[in-house]
Amino acid sequence: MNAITDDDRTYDVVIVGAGFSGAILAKELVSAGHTVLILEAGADHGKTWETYRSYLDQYYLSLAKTPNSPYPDLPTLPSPSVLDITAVRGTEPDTNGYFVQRGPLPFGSNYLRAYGGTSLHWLGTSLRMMPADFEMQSRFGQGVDWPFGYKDIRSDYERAEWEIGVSADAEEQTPRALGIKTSGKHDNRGYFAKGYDFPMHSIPSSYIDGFFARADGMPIEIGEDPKDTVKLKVSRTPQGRNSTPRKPKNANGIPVGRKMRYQFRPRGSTGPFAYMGQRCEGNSSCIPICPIQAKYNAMKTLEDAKHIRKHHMKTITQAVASKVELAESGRVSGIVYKKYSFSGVAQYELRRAKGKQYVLAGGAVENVTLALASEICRTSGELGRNLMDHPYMMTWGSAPEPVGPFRGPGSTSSYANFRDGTFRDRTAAHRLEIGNWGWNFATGAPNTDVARFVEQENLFGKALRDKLYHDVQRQVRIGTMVEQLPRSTNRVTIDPAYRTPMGEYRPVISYDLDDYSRAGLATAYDTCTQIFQRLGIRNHTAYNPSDAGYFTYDGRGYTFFGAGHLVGTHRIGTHPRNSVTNDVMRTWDHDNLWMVGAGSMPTIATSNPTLTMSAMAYRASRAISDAVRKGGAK
Amino acid sequence: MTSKDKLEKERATLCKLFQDALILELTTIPPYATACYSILEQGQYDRSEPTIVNAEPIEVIRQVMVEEMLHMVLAANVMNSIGGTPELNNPKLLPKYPQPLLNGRGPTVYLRRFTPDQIKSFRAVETAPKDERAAKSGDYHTIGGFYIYIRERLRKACNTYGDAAIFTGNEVRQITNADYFGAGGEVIEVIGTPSQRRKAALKAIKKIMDEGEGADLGHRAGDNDIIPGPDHREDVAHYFKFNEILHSRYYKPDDSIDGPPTGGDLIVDWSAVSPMRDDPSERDFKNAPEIAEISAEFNAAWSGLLDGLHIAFNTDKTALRSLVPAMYDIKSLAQKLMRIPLPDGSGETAGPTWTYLAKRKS
Repeated sequence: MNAITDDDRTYDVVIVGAGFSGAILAKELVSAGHTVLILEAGADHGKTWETYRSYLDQYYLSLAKTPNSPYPDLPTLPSPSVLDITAVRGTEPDTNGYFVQRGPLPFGSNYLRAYGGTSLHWLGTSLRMMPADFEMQSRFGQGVDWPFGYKDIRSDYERAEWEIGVSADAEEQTPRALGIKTSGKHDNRGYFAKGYDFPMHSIPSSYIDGFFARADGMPIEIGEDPKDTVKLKVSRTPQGRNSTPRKPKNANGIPVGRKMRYQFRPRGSTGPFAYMGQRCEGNSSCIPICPIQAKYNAMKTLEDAKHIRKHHMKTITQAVASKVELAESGRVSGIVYKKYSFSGVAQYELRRAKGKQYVLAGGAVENVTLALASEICRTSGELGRNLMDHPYMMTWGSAPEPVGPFRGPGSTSSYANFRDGTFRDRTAAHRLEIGNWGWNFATGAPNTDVARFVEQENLFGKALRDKLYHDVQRQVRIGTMVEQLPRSTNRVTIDPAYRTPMGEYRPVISYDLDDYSRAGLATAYDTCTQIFQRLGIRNHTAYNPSDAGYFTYDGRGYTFFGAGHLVGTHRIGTHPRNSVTNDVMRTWDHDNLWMVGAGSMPTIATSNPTLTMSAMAYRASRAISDAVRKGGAK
Repeated sequence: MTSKDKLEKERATLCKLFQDALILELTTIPPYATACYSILEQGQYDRSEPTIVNAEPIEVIRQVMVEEMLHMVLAANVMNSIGGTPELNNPKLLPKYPQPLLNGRGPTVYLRRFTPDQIKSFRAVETAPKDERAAKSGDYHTIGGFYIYIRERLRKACNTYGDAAIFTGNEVRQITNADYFGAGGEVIEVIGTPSQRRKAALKAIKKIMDEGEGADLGHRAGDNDIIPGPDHREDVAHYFKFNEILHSRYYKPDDSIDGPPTGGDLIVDWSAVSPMRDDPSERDFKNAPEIAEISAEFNAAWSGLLDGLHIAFNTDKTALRSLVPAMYDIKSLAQKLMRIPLPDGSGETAGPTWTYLAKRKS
């Protein structure tokens, strides 16, 4: 067996994972004067521009342009892929991909294990949560409450929005402006702090958004109470991609996290070509890769961190954290990692990283497999449980006129009307995202259209081109993202029978949709058909019982996919018995260990979790910094 | 001649000079773009083994281009501030290639593929003037010298007639950062009191000069502009960017203008280039109607861009935003032309002619 070599240097903070959370933590901690080590399992991709370029080449050449297609999937470090998802049958787990799926439904989400993490292929949607989302139990008798409320995290949202560079207009984003009948009377008040605004103006709406806006004002009944009827409204989505920087109205600037900030300067691509990507140019490949890095990725924050104090931050890539070691006191004494020299070759050296404080920021699933393998954080029994995602259901159809799909970012607007309301005691809240890329995600258009016209309709030449243009130009799609409640049976575990070639545990996942979410999806489907009828869209939606994510509700069948929003596995809480960490993400069981990331979220609600996760990273960073300052072992 | 007549004459002269500046900046873009687009993009080079080919020279030339576009906007802003009318789609003023610059006093620019000679000719375009004093009195042979002359003339006019008499343009016409796409740097608005406008106008001219030739920056390659990014790196002037390609090495901003670049490697593969015919013209496509058709499409897109710029500088600045897709069209059509061999068996390919098609009266 390999002997473990200790690293020479002891850091103030050792962080596992160079994604959204790890990057923000590193930047904040280095700014506060602490020394930081980041262990990143991904292959050595810290060379920013050249590496990014190679990802692009890989993307152009790959046939199936899935979220992970531009990025390496190494035997040393497998990432889950959407191509691996199949129906789980009977009691035999599905082991096709990296995940071991126990079902009964397949968990359809993925993430990326690389320098920059999943930020490399996120869409950029940067939504805040609603005030009600923090009080699910007290307001609706569902799920759990958060240990803090919306107002407690508001200034951290501001910090996160200015770090990511979110394009949106505050006046368009209040619950009232979004057309939401909030469950609380005062939820609209102070949703944004006085004088606050986003760093950049909204990304322009697509033509398709304008087409759907023709149904604005249409009443939709949700639930039995007529008071719950909402009026549809298409609203623009805050996005983490560069648009036009906002010139502050007030000469003093804009208050951001209790500091005044003047005009935001968009950061372009990392590496030598910073003038590239300072504005979104409407390339339509945000997922899986923005060719010019106009979309935020965590490498930008990591670059900042490196430049703040050059000798304070070190990143070790190709370093798979394997075990969190404890001293007798119960404090963490080191993290053992496997350093592999050649990407793709499962030969490694065992090393030990040492610090004063330790942070797991590897994502909701990887944090858990590492903690389970290390047999830590066991008091609550909640570790790995309450896995949530946004079950994602698509409805698609043909518009009565050309609407110009396949241009611009994947989505620029949504119907946010259903993100909150008194109906949430029975039915899951949801958001209807308007797609800009035709039936791309739904059917694999336009490639599948070509195949169909050639093989089934024997078209060729001009007739084929005309038919393609006619049909593809009319493709519209709505994606429904519905909230999921924390369930102890939706969980990540480990099993010695399933390991990677490096000997690490593969995540074993049990997953199902409860009736609360199913009701939300069914309601959303009805709403979509009403919108389609109003706008003269011919419904082409087809859910097939052979689909991996096929499920039934109330006598009808639907298909869902994962949204890549992995949440809830190491939630924050008020007590060591109901949660894995406290409200600043310090583990209850181990004084100098922190778990940060979307896994900390007790509920998922309807917002894509990135912004909330980033805001929480700011919250954690202050507490970690305090802990370093106080220092010393118990 | 009354002093009022003299003032009017001087203002007309200044407007003419800024119009020339605008067309000068515009004239450099097609040669730069042609060379840039002739580079075969990565991946297409060898599909079986995607390698990064010439991504760096593509980006270096692109940076110069976007800064030239910024310079056009700056020139238009100054011209509008003194009450001029920028003309972007007057066929009499537009370049026809090969095109001598500065009414024949400067170098000639050609539409050619990416070769060392072509990059050398670009470098010549961005050369700093040798004799600043001669340039001030109107004896200039480089773009840098031309701007020295403009700056001097504007200064003198302001001193003679007062800032208020010179800066009479409507502020509504000023392109702002909110209108401009943003790549390549920030726009300077020529607004405020007459003296503020004078200051802004001179600053705009200085920015054009710094970014182009780096003429008066104390013999350094840097251009005084900080690239937005964590390391607060200063950009280098265009002359040195082209020199970087020729030397296969990046400059550091502190490098002396007399010495070679001392930064990191910049890999250039001169062979991964479309064999485009030098200075293509419509005559080359006479026997190839399918090429002529694409060429016409290209020229229509180019003309649309110029018309759009004309509108943006004169009536509706929001037109600027919708020109982004037009620029993509131009790029993809140019690359399409450069991949079609000419029918004469020469082995050379077609290329864009950058011809403005005057609007047909309908």
